Amino acid sequence: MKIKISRMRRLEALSGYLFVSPWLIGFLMLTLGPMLFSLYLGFTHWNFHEPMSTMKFIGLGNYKQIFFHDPLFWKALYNTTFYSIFAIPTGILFALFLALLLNQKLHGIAVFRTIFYVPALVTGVATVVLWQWILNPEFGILNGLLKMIGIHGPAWLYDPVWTKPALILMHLWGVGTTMLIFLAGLQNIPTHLYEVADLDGASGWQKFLHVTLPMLTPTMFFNLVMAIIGAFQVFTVVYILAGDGGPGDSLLFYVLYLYRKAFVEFQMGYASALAWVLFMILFGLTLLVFRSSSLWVYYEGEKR
Amino acid sequence: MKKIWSIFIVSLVLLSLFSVSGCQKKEKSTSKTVIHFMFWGGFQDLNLWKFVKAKYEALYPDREVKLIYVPDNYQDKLSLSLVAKSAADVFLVDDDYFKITAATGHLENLEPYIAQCKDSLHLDDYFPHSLEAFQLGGQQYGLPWDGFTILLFYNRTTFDQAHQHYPNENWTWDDLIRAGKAFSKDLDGDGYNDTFGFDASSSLLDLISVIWTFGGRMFSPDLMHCELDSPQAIQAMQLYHDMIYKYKIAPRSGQLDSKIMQNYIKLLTGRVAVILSGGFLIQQLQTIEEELPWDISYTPSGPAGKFARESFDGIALYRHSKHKKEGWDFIRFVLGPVVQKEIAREGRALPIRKSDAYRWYDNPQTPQDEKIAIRSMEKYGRTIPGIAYQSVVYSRTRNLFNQIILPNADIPKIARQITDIVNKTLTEMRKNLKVWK
Amino acid sequence: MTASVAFFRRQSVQKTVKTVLGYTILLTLSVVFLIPFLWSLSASFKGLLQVYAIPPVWIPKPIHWENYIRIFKLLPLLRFFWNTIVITTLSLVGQIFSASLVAYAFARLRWPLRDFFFFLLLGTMMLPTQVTLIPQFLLYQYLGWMDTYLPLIVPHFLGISAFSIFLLRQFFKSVPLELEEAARIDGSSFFRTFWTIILPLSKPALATIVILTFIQKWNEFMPPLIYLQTYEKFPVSLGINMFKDVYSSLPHYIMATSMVALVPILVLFFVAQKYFVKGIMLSGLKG
Repeated sequence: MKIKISRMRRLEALSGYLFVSPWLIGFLMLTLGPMLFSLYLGFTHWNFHEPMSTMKFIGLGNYKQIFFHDPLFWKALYNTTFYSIFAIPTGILFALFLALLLNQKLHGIAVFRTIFYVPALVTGVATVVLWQWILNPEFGILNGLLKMIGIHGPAWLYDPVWTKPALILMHLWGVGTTMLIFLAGLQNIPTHLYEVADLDGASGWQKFLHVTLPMLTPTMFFNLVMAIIGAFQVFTVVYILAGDGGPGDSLLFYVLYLYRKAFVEFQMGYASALAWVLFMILFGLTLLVFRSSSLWVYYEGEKR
Repeated sequence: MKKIWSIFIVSLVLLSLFSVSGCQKKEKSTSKTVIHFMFWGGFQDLNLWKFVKAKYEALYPDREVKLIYVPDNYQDKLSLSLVAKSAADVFLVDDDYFKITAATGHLENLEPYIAQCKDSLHLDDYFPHSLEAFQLGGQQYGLPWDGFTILLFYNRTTFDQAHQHYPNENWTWDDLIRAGKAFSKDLDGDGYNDTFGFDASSSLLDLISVIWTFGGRMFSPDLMHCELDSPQAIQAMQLYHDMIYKYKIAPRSGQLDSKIMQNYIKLLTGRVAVILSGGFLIQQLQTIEEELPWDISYTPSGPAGKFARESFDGIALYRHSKHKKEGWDFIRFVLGPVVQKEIAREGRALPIRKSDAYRWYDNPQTPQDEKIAIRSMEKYGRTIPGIAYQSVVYSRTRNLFNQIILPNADIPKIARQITDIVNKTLTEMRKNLKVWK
Repeated sequence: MTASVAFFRRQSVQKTVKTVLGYTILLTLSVVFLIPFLWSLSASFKGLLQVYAIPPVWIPKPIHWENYIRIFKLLPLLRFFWNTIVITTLSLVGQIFSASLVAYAFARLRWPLRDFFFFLLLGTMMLPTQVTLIPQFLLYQYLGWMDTYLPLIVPHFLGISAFSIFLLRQFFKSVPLELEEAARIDGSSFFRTFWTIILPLSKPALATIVILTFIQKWNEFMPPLIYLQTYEKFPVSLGINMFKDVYSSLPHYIMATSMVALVPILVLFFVAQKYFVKGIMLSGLKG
């Protein structure tokens, strides 16, 4: 009996490695090298126009500069963190709300699902131009609507205080992907659980709390981790909207600052150090979420 | 099950087909000398370079040109190819990034090549300052092949309706302000004007011409210091600020944002009577089918004279190219009459030689007098002296320049902040590079 | 008798209210989500002057139907579309293949260092791509993959999408263990279990991966820009950029091309709805 179990264990371990081999090969071949290269770059000073032989090892020099002599780093970090703190929960909750809405057995729901997903498909530049229209203080629709209910709308993208809220609004509009994943998660919940709940006389709200939410936690967990990783790395929108950092540098987000340092100011070493600082932050946050997951994430038939 | 397997196998076959076809193409062209040429632009540029390739290959039947077209992010791709030591034999260079590319040793010194072809190149016929834009340490490391200046565009109908004389070569900023007041009206009674005489954008590239007309300049002649905090520079910045808030002849930021409504739309719809824009706009407006009442003139003069900022496109030879002779022939060809005539005919920029421009660029069939664009470049053209950290300077000061047109801008303070940042950048540049101008 | 009739009548009234409310909210939100799309659509039929008119013109006067023909004349768009189809389809096949296998390893199999590698997998998403651009470029040049589709497609066969792997891992972990164990006891190999139990029960997740991967590759811009040199190999995403140059752009043509590019995605999305089958019928299992 013992020999059989250990052989099964070894077979499982071998199968594990076999199944994961595509990723492992890809990681070792294509990803690990570049990551280690950039890690090393973070300890150097290098204008990448110059040959690699001019790369100068400066130890923690970049990191010292980042933390003690770079006010723009702190500004970028502040901007990105501020944005993330608000964008992540609102985005997830709004996406969940939409997914629940689209999960109903209504006639023609497939059409609505397609429509709700369209914002995620419209190309980046078109979306940004459109939002600049919508948010224009003089003739934009948003301030027009606010005027109708008696509120004098702010200058949105021209006011340093309101640029990030404007961006959060744009983010909410584009939560199609998160919504789609929640939808898949909702569809994955076995219907018989709801039937059992109905028989027990549960109300809609109770069903939501005791069937939907718990069964949705694996999806919620995924969306939370991805939202964190995504929010901190926002780039394309701010690059198109405010490549110069926006009014008062209020839209100088972390990856935009990194891009500027790397490709406009040619400082690859410094940019790499910035990248690894971000990595540390994201790693820490994800670790936190993972540690907490045992408290609130429920997988069907776990313990593996 | 079977269907999935067949899809999988089919795609593997396709995949291998494509990798194989890549190899085949390489084998096909080993009989001829192949030079790689990298360029930017839209589909019109692609068509231009396809034309150049065809003519060049007809002239040299044993050579082939491989076009490497980069539709966007040109500088990123060029930088990557330079790091990887696999750049094209000949490539275009942007005047903002030229000096850093040359200073870090990626470009071939063209002086020896030029010395051999002095008679055919006619360098003395080139527009003023065009050659300097592509020099490093006084030596030619690239050559300009086309360019344009900033011009004044105005709406004839708007001028007619307000009974104002059209702009002419003698126009000064005072003339602009005077005429602008006649155009700037508050139509809907909300206290803010809705039509304007002028569109004032305060980016560095727009303001520098104004600064020049007041006698200021970006750098000291030895390029060691920034002089944007001089009284003349501040005066120029103040002028633009006053146009919005004191004379009220230009829109506030956000009111008619150029990201949403491009400046030529503002001009053509009568919202703004006068704009300053690059000469490339001439061709763009001329391709619009409808008859539109626009015309061009010279940029306004200030107390120190009349200046129009020039911009040139450059072409360079890769230092590590294995086909330098063929590449140089290509460059010469681009600067030669066949290509220059085509550039003039297309009209998006001026050919690089004055005589070619007068001969081919002026189009008698259009209502606008294109000779103004040529004369503007010849008489009033001026460039910002290039330094290796040009792009860095622009990037770090962009936000501050945008502040100039904000309502409560403290112009002298902003000017000092800008100068401070530029000087710090210059110091950093001198520390990191041996050659930088 | 009367009590139950009243109950059912109340239920049907409640149901109607719910339905009406549902439709109202859906329609309102639809309008909000569609506005930018509708603006793009109307812009695609405009002439250059009208695109940026203020106040915005919703119905172009005149309607330039010929925009849609002109874009195919100005650019080799059909070629670009074919290229995009090739890149997207091959990537999609590779993605489904590798992501599902790898996700299964992380979700259900026990092997040494599994959790360490899982964190490594997530870690690959945490480093901004700007700093790995140079070494990756050098790597692909060394491999001789420049100007081919290999850098665009091969990584998908090698599990490049940590996003997909992570997503599938979550869904695979939600499949009831009993089903798997039943199959294993019956002597099914890990692969057979994977193929016959896990995959069929994860249709919504797989459909999601198909849609997301498709869209990502369809619109992908930077990798083709960097690795391709021959412009005939360009996908549509690069082709669209040909309607702007350094100083100006032709937004009406850009919008028209975007609209044409959008059609296959919408079709795919609509068709994939079929796989979002609600619920898993597991009668007879949970007793």
